[in-house]
Amino acid sequence: MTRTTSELDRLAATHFRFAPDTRALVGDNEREVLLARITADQARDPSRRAPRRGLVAVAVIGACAIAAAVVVAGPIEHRGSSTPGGATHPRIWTTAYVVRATMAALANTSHDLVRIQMALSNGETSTFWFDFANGDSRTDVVRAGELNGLSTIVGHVETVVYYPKKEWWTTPPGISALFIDTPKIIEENLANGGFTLVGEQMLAGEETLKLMGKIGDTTEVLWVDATTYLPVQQTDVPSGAGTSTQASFSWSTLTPTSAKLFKLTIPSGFRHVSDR
Amino acid sequence: VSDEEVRSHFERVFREHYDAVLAYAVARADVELAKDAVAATFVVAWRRRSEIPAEPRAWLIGVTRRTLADQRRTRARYVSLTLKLAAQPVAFEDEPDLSEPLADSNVVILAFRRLRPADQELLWLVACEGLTNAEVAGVLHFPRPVIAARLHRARRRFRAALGTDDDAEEDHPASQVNLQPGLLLPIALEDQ
Repeated sequence: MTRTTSELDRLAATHFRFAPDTRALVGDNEREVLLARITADQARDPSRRAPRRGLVAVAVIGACAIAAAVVVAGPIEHRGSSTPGGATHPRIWTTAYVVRATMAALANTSHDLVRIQMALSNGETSTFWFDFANGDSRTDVVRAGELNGLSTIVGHVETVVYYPKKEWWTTPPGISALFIDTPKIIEENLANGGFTLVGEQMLAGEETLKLMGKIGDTTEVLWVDATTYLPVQQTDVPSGAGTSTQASFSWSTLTPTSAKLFKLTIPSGFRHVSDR
Repeated sequence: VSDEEVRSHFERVFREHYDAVLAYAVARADVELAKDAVAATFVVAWRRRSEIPAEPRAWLIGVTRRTLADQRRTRARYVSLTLKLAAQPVAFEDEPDLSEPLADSNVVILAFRRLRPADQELLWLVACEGLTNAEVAGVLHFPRPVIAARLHRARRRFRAALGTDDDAEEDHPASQVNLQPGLLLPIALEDQ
C-alpha cells in the first residue's frame, strides 16, 4: 500500500507527536507480572489439543457460573399473589417474559430520573444521575475517600470540575456521551439476548428477579424489581484482570430540587482552564 | 512444536507488541480501561496461542477492538470521569508556543475531528497503526475491496477537511487555529 501522500503522513506525525508514552503508563515490572500471570495458566491450548477442556481458573469459574445458571434456569414459580395497580403477572416467570417486561419497563417508565450508585473493585465510587426528559446527566466521582470530580452534561455541553487541581472546564461530551444512556444500553443488551433468568432474590426488602448473561469476557448479573421490572442492581465481573463493578439503581421523578443537580456551581478558588 | 517453544513465541509476541496494542487501546479509552483491554487481549492470545499469526499486530488489535466494545457495553452506566480527566486540557499559562509543526498538528486535529468515527478509525488504522488494507480488512471484518473503497473516500474527505488535494497543499499558519494538542484522541468507537 502506498502511504506517501501527505494527509496520512501528517496524521501519523500528529499522532506520534502527542501519543502517550506507553512505557510510562505501564512499566516493565507491571508487564512482566501480567505476562507471568497469563502464562501461569498451564491449561491446554483449546485450538490445538483439548478443545473440550477448561482453560484457566477464571474461565472455569465463569463457565461454571453460566452452566449453573443454565441448570437452574427455567420457569420460576411466582410466589406473589397480587400487584399494585392490578397489573397481572404470570404465575410462572420465564426468561423471555422477564426480559420483555424489563425492556418495556425501561422504554415506558413513568420515572424520569434515575440515580445509579456505582462501586468499583479499585475502590472508586461514583454516583450518576440521568434525566430522561431532557437527557441531562451528572456524575460525582470519589477516589480514596475524597471527592475527585464532578461533571454535568446539559444539552451539548459538558462541564467538569476537577478537585485535585482545583480546575474546571467545559467540553463537548465526546466519547463520554457513549456511556450516558444507561437504561438504553441495558435495553440493548437484553435485546441482544444471552441473558437467562436464574432465580428470585430479596434485595433490601424488595423481591427481585435475577438475570445473568455474558458480555464478551464479562459476566453480568441484573436484578430487576419483580413488580415494576425496572433494574435494581447490576454487577459486572470480568474473567480477566479487569475491574469489577456493582451498581444500584434508584428510580424517581424529576422535581425542582432534583433539577438543581444538573446546574453545577463552581467552587470558589477553582481555576477555569481552557475549554475544549 | 513443543510447549516450551509455543510459550517462548507467546512471550516474544507479548513483549514485542504490548506497546502497540496499549497505544491503540489508550487512543480509545482511559488508561485503566485500556490496560484492562490489553490484559484481556493477551489472555485471549494465550488461550489461542497456536493460532497467533506470524504477523500478529493486526490480529491483536482486532481482539482489542472487540474487547473495548464489550467494555463499552458492560460499563455503559459507569460514566468514568477518568475518560475526561485522562486528556485534561492544558491550563492557559501552560499553553505551548505554536511552532510550525505544532500548528500543522492543530490543523490535522481539527480536520480529523470533523470526520465521521468510521472514517477516523479507518485512517487511524492505516496511518497511525501502519496496517495494510488486508490487515484493516481483518480488523474491521470487511472484505478488502470494501476497505479499499472506504479508505479512498475517507482520505478524500480528510483532504477536503484539511483543505488540500492530492496535488497542492495550503499553508496553515498558526494564527488560523488555536486548538490544544492531544485532541486527536480519543476516537469514539462505532457500534460493532
